[in-house]
Amino acid sequence: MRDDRQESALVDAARCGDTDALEELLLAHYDRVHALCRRMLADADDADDATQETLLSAVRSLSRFDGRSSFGTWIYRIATNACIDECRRRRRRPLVGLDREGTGDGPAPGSDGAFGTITEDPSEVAVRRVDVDAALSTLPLEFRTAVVLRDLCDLAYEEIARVLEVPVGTVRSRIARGRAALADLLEVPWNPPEPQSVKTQLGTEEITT
Amino acid sequence: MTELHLSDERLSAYLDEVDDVAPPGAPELQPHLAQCARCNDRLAALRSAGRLVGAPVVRVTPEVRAQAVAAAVRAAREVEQARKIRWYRRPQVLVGAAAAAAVVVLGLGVAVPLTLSGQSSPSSTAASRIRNSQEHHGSAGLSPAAKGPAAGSIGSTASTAAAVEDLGQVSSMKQVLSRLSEVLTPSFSQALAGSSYNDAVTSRYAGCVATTRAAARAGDYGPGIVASATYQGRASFVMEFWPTASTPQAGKTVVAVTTTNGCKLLARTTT
Repeated sequence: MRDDRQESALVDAARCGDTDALEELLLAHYDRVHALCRRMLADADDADDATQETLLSAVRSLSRFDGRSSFGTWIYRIATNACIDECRRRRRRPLVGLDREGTGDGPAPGSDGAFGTITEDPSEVAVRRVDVDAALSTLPLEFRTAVVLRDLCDLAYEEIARVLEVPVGTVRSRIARGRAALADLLEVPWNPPEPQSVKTQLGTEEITT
Repeated sequence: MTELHLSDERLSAYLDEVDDVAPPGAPELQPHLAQCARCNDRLAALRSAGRLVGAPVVRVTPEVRAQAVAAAVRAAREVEQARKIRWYRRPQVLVGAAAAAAVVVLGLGVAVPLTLSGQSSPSSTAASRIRNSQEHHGSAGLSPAAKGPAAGSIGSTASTAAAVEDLGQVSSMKQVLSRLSEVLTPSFSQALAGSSYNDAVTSRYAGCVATTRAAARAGDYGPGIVASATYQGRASFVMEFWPTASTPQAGKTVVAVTTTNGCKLLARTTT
């Protein structure tokens, strides 16, 4: 994992207009932000959009980053809000058509094939991934967000509380209810990978080496 | 009944070792778990659910990541310096196969209300900024047909980036290209010359919605917004667009995108 002091030096440099530092910072966090968006939105294109929106939003508001949380938590917060915004937009508009009608590059959202990139990976893990994405998308947004921040992003309860601006007790409750709903939906008699390998694969390249 | 089994919340928090009521190894939880099959099953189910959420996500390629970050860095640079529309003075970007630049026409729906009127002022349109950039960089490509005053905004603050050239009513990609050629620089016109276009193409450019929304929220139309237009009756933007995940990787591409709620690729030109 990135050294905190090195990261804060990068943040300082980026805030002073050092675009190399900014680039390094964004590259270091890109995969984690993308993973968060992908899990939250269960759609490859929407995840790309939300990730891009997060990066743009981060560079625009970098001058307001106060360093009280880590840069990672801060950008997670931006990404979370971008995803929540996207989910609320979806609620207001029909999911038909806009981006996929007649394109031939993907079926309608909600069908299995909507997880376009996943069909390229035939492994059991990929099948599970589709299941969990589909199951997650049925959860209330608050539960989904809390579980993803905890189990995918590995944030502490206190960090999640800061990201979501709710008390820690609420975080605990939402995580539990989200996991419980998922367990019921997925009927998880499944032998999951060891936690270490999960975290390793989620992380950036500096983690995976 | 309530005392017979542990609640989901306590089991879930136990997994995370943060429950201050029952910290890990708490005497009251462990003996129960040691003898209660149901709570053990439930604990395992909650743990598995969490691990599924934490399972690896399909990762983007290094190229996609680099492109996306580069676009954001470029945005930062241009926001701070009000330096606009760089690729018009870098025609090699257009011919580089790996760096396919695109122009999209973005239609904005009710979800992103924007005011298109009253934003233009002659001294700070996108076109004039481009012309100024050309002057500033000593380019020989300054358009002799350039309209409007060349009063400079280059190097000034981002607030001057709030207006763009309006192309007016356009109904096809051909019109978009032709109007753009009128208001922008010769190098841009040359880049467009010889392009074929197809108004019927529909596919998706990742990132365009995000870029547009970010531009709208920030209260200015940069970076990348080249012009506004009314495309088939809809308020739209023409936009310099850096390709990300879903974009074609080869050839020069110009794209028109419009929908009522975001981006939709309507037309594409390639050479």
